[in-house]
Parts: sequence; structure tokens; C-alpha cells
Amino acid sequence: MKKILTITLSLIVIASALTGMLRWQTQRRDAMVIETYLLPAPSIKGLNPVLAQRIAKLNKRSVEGPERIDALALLSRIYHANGYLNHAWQSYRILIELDDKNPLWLHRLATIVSGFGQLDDAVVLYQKSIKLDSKYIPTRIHLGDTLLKLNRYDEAKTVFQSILNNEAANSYALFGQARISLAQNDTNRARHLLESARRSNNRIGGDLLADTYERQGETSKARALLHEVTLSSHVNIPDPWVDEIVSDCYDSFEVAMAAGKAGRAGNTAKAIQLLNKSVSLDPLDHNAHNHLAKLYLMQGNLSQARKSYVNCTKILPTFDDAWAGLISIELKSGNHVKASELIDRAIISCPNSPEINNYKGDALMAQNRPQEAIPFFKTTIRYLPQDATGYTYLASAYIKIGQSEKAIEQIRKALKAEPSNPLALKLIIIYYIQTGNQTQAESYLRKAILSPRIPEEVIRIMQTTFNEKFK
Amino acid sequence: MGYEQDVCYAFANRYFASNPVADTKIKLTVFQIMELKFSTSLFTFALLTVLQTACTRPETTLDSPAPPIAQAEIDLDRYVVSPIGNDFDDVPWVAHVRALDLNEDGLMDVIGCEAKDDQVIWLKQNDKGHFEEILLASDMQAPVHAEVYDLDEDGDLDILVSCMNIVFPNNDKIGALIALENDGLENFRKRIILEGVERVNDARAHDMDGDGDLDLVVGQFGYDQGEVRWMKKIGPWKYASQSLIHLSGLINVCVSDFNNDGHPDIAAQFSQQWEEIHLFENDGKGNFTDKIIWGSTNHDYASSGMTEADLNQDGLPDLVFTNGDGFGPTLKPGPRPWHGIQWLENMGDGSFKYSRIGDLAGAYSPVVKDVDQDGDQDILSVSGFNDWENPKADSLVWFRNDEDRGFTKVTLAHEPIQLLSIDFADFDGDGTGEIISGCFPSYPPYDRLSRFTIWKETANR
Repeated sequence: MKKILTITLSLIVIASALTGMLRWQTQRRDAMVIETYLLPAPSIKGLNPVLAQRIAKLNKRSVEGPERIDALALLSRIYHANGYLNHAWQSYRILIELDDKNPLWLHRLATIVSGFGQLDDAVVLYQKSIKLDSKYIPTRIHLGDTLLKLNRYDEAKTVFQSILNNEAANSYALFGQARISLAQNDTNRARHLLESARRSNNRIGGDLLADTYERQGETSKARALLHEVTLSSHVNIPDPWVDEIVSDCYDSFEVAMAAGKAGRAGNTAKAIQLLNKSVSLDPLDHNAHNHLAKLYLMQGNLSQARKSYVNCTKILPTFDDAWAGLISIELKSGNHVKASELIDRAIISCPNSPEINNYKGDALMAQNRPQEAIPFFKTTIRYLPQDATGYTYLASAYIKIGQSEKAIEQIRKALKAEPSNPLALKLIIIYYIQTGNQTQAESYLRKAILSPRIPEEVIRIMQTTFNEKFK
Repeated sequence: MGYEQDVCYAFANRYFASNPVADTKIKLTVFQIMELKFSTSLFTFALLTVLQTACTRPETTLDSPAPPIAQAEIDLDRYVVSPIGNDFDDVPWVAHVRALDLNEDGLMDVIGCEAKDDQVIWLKQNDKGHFEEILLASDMQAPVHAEVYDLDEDGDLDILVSCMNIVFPNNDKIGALIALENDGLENFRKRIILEGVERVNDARAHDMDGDGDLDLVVGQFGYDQGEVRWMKKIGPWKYASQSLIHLSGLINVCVSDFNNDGHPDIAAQFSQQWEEIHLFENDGKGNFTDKIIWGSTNHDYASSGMTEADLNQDGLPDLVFTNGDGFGPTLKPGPRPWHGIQWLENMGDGSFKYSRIGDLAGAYSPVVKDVDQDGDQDILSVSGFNDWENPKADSLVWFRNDEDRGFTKVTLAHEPIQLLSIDFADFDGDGTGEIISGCFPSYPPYDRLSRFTIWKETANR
């Protein structure tokens, strides 16, 4: 009996010792791996003090403990969010080794690695991440995209198709399949896929679809689509595992970039939240205030927009964009007296600003004082000769005082500066129709038809007027 | 007791068989312990296991790719700076500079594209170090790139000019390719080769189909729409277009026999949301097969320039490229942490191996030359977009080739700022090269600017 008890006790002691030993050994290994591989902290010179302090503390805790892995996880996130990509990269490598059941580290490292274009390495990391969490769609979209860029079309197709099997309308997977079809010269299939992608997300694929329409001879369809998508129609897939790290970013420019990305994706509320953070990080960044004001305007929040523009003009009184924003708010609100006051203040602060000179000239035009407006439009042209706006304003002043030859000369200059400026094209077409110059009218009408910036409706009206006059 | 002892011995023997590292002394100790009571022996044995585990160094290798970490130095005294060309009041927009001896008088000149003033400029070196600015052509529809060839094969140098018409975002088909035909006395006649297309960003001349004349390869940035085409020469100043790809954001095209099959191929760098480099492999008759040879999944990667050069001098043309376009989804352009210089090493069969050379915020205009004349190829690059509020922001950078030790980033200058294009040539004929740079400020601050600048090595080098 005594012997059994002794053996049992011995076994318990041994098991406890072994367990403790294993735990100790694991912690020892974690410490050794971290100590061996963690990069020295970057120089704190010029860093935001809170960021510098957090990096120092987390570095120490990652090496010395307690809870080394948690500390390293936070450190990697801070490095990543603040643009220390090599440091983040190395920290994720360590985390992948020490916390090998967590797909987050693999995914985040893969986005850095594939972002740099080390695609073969990225494929392995994405695949490992998917093995740990196959439900997180952005990893699979990135994997498909990476395989596509490696010309591994069959594998990419399988990845995108596996997403579509569960989410038939996933626009990013449809877009990926469309790119593969285009690479394999299957334009019909690409068109079908792009149309499907755009049905579920109209911020994706417009450019390629317009090309496809053009290639298939459907130019007016292409034109209408390009008019709709305006510029830069593509948005990235939202990737919360990476996107959310911005909450630990102390660089106002990077936070503003993230805000811009959110805004581009249509998430104005998120963009505003991020810009407010950017402004709190650098209260003197007039660009961030200006961006914030524009987003408030998009939301229809005039009072916040006004506040943000006023902040800009206080920080940098010569910043004409902010004055222009304030003036436009007052004009939109019907406060013409206030707008006029602002224009006069703005022109003192920014006498060479094309935008403010245009406002001043335009205000004089509204008061039926075109002769007095002319010098302001000429100033615009002097400071922005490569832009059509000043010429078209000046042309309108000449039209108002009956000097049509001078007006047409300015319109020609506008079209030289910007060959498909919608207003200049419209004015010159009307001029040539009115003066009976069919050849010129036809030539400019053709240019207007080619420009996606001119609405279909305007083209139709001009075409009808042309036909009435000449046919 | 005998049975217990047997078990202990068997246990110990198995343990030592699987742990050859165990010390002989420990073995002896263990076998002496075998003579004690089983429980005591077992306890001691476990203790030894624990001790042995404690003494073993854990495995600490990382099974994932390591980050590219480069060394950095600063050498602000390497070059002396001399502005050349006319004085300027307004903000210049020099989109491109190319060093060459245009009038073939033995002195290196410069061709510059002034995109805002629609001008192609010749900085003619009259005598060593003295440059005269000559306007070669005006009304050039925002020229952004110029290359020089004898396009009409009459023995003098003509200029092939890529024109965007409007430099900032515009998706209209307003691009043009214009040749400036040299009459032999450096009077140039404008010839429109291509117009009414997506904004043209780069064009090169090369005999693509082996018929002995110079065909053209044209890259159209566009905006939402873009294209790469080749234009077969079918007569004097006459070309027939063939589209190779419809994709926006074309930055540069390079022509060389990249797949080593004896025919010139085309490499094309695309920015926008694509961020890819394509290789169009030529069958020698002007039929091309498209494949992607590199790509990034970062849609804001910001590809900004690419050049062809044999960086490792193995006889195969490599590609060196930059990413540093500062315009992104916010109102102000600026640097991003991933901006820098990369090398695609030609493996000889049309495949390429990627390497990061180094970081450079706002990197543009990669130039591969032996800057320090040590027999290997270095890389120069400029920053078009940096944090210019910071007086220590890099403006001109040399990536010195330290052979086996990789490339060392050497900051050569913090100003002038907002440089977009450089070239490297021996302007003064002293056997060492000079740098020519052009400035294109697209956003404030508009100070520390120099329109055209020659950078000459200091005498003590």
C-alpha cells in the first residue's frame, strides 16, 4: 500500500515537474526566439512621443516578459500601422513561429510580402493562413490575385470559384475571374463577369468593362459607362484584419491616407472619423482640415464643413482652397452678402489664386459688371495658363459685353489648354452652328462625342441643334 | 526488486538510445541510481529528464521569408550643384531629361520636356560646362518623355516625344506621339505620329519585326483606360498600329531581348490599381505573347519608373524599377513606407527574380550606371514626393553596389527638392559621370527648386 502511494506521489510530482518544465521551456524558447530575431527598435528621433514610448515599452516587454507574445503582437501592429514595414515583417515572422495557430500573423505578413511583390513567398503565407481560417474572404481574394499575377490562372480560377460557390455575387472574385478571362482572350466571358461584378459593386471593374465595350464596337455604351465611373473607378476589398490597425497609427499623413481610402470606398463616416484622428495628431495640418471639410460637405453637414474650412484659413491664411470652400458654402446657402465679404477677404489673403479670382470675377458678372470682371479672369489665366477655366470665364465676360470674336479666341485657347473641356466644347459648337460653319461645328461635335465627360443629354441637344441647322 | 531494476534499466537504456547527447557521466550516475529503490530511481530519472530538457537549446529558426534590410549612409559632399538653362520665375514642370550629344559635336547635351509650357528644350553644351537653352519645339501638348533616334535614317538625330496633353488626371483621348524631324542642322519639323489616343507616357523606337527599319513601341497611361501598342513602320513617317494590351496606368516601356531568343521583346510597367510589369515576348515577326513578370497586390504601390540595364553584368538585360508616385486617396501627395527601388534579375528564359534594392520615399527615375567607377553597376534615383517640411528628406540618392554585400543607400542631397527625372553621362569629358536633373513640383512647397541642374563630382574624389 505504502509502495503504491509512494509511486503515485512520485508520478504526480514527476508529471507536475514535467508540465512546469515544458511551460518554462516554451517560455524560454519564446524569449530566445524573440531575443534572437526581434529587430532593434527604430530611432525615436522625431517620433510622436506616445508612439516612441509605446515602442520602447513593448520592445522591453517582448524580450523580458511578462506575456511576451501579447506584447509582440501589439508591437508588430504598431510597427505595421506606423510604416515600419521591415520591423513589422520581422515581428510577424516571430509571431508565426510562436503563435502558430493564429492566421492573423500569416495574413498580415502576406499582405506586406505580396505588397512588395514577393509573390511566391506570399502564396505560401496566404495558403497557410487559409488553412487556419478558411472563412476569411479577403485572404482568399488576395491569394487569387497573387496567383493571377504569377500567371497561375488555373489555380487563381479555382480560388475565385471557391469563393463564388458560397457567395455568387462576390464582386472581387467576379472581377478576378474577369481578369483571367481577359488574359486568356475570352472577351465575352470577361464582359459577362464584369457586368455581374458591377451589379453588386459599382466601384469595381468600370474601366475594364468600358474597354471591353469599345473592343466590341459598343462605343456609346463605353462612353456612358466612363461618364458614370468618372475617375479611378476601382476600390480595394475591405480587409478588416489589416485596415483596423490604423487605430494604432500616430502618423497624421498615413491616417489621412486611410481616411481617403475609406472615402473612396464610399464609407464617408469612417473617413470623417479617421480625419478627425489625423487632425488630432497634427492640429496644424491644413490639408487634413480641408479634406475633412470636403467630407462634411459630402454629408451635407455645412456647419462642420464651415468650421473645418475656418480652421484651415486660421492655420494658413494663404490657403485658397479653404477660402474657396467657405465661399461655396455661403453661395450654396444663399448667403450672397456673406459670400461677397469672404471673397473680398480671400482676395486680400490670396491675390494670385486662380480660384479666388474666378470667384471675384464671377461675383462681378452676377452684378452685371463684366468689364470689371475681366482683369480678375486675366489674373487666373496668368497664374494657371494650362487650365481651361480662366479662358472660359473670360470668354463668358466677352460674350456678355458683346465681343464675340474675343470670346471665341478665349474659347479656342481653352480648348488648346484642355482639348475636351466640356464647357469650351459646348460653347464652340454653339458658336459654329450659329455662324453656319458646318465643318468646324461637325469637327468639334465629334470631339464632344468622344469625351466621356460630356453628358449624353448635352450631346443629344447639340446633335439636334446641328441637324436643325445643317440638315 | 530485481524486476523493478530491470524496468529501470530498460527505461534508462531506451532514454539514452534516443538522447545520444547525454553525457557519459550522467549515464553512470543513472545506473548507480538503479541500485536504489525503484520510486527513488524513477524520481531521480525524471529529474534528470527535466534537467536535460532544461539544458537543451530550443529550436529557434524562422520558417518564413526575411525582410529586406539595407544599409544607409549620407554623403552630401560628393557632388557640386550647378543650375543650367534659363532663369525661371514660375514653377517649372520638367517631366523628363535625357543626356545625349544631339548635334554630335562631341559634347554631351540635354533634351528636356517642359510639360506646363508645352516645350521641348535643348540644353546645348557650347563649350565645356556652358549650356545654352534652345527651344526646339513649342505647342507640344504637355510633353513628358523624349527619346532620340535617327527615325528617318537620314544620318541625323530625331526626337520622339510622348505627349499627355494634360498631365493631371484626365481620361479623354487627348494623347499624342510627336516626332521632331531633324533637318541635319538641328532645325526640327513637327510630325504627328499618333493623336486622339489615351495620354501617351513613353515611346521607344526599335526594329521589332526584323525588317531593318525602326518601328515604334508606345505606352499610353490614359487614366481609366490605357494601352500599349507597337507601330510597324510601313513607309516614311508612316506606321500601322497593333494593340498589345488595353490597361491603364502605363509608366514606361523597355525594349530588349529579354527572353534571350534573338528577338526584341517589350517590358511594360503599369501603375493604377494593377501594379504589374508585363513582358510581351516577340516571335520575331511582330507577334507578341503577354505574361506578367512581376506584380504587387498593394493597389497604392505607386509604380513610377522602369529602366532596362544589365545590373549584375551577366550579359542578360535586367529591369530596375521604382515606386514612389505620391498621389493617393487624399488631397496632398506624399511619401509612403513601401516606396523604393527594385531589381528584376533576368534568369535567361523570360523569367525574372525579384529583389528589393532599398527604400526611397517618392522614388522616381531609376538610372543604372557605374557611378563610382569601381567596375560594377550602381543605381541613382530621385524623390519626386517626400516630406519636404523635413529638411533631411532625401532628394537625390545613390544605391551603391557593394557586390556580395548588396546595395548601400547613400543620400547625396536633400535639395533641390521635387526632382522627377535624372540622367547620367560624362558631360565634361573627364571620364567621370555627371548627373542632370529636372524638377517637377506638383504641390507646395515651391522653394528649394532648380529647373535643370548638373551635379558634378567634387574634385577630391
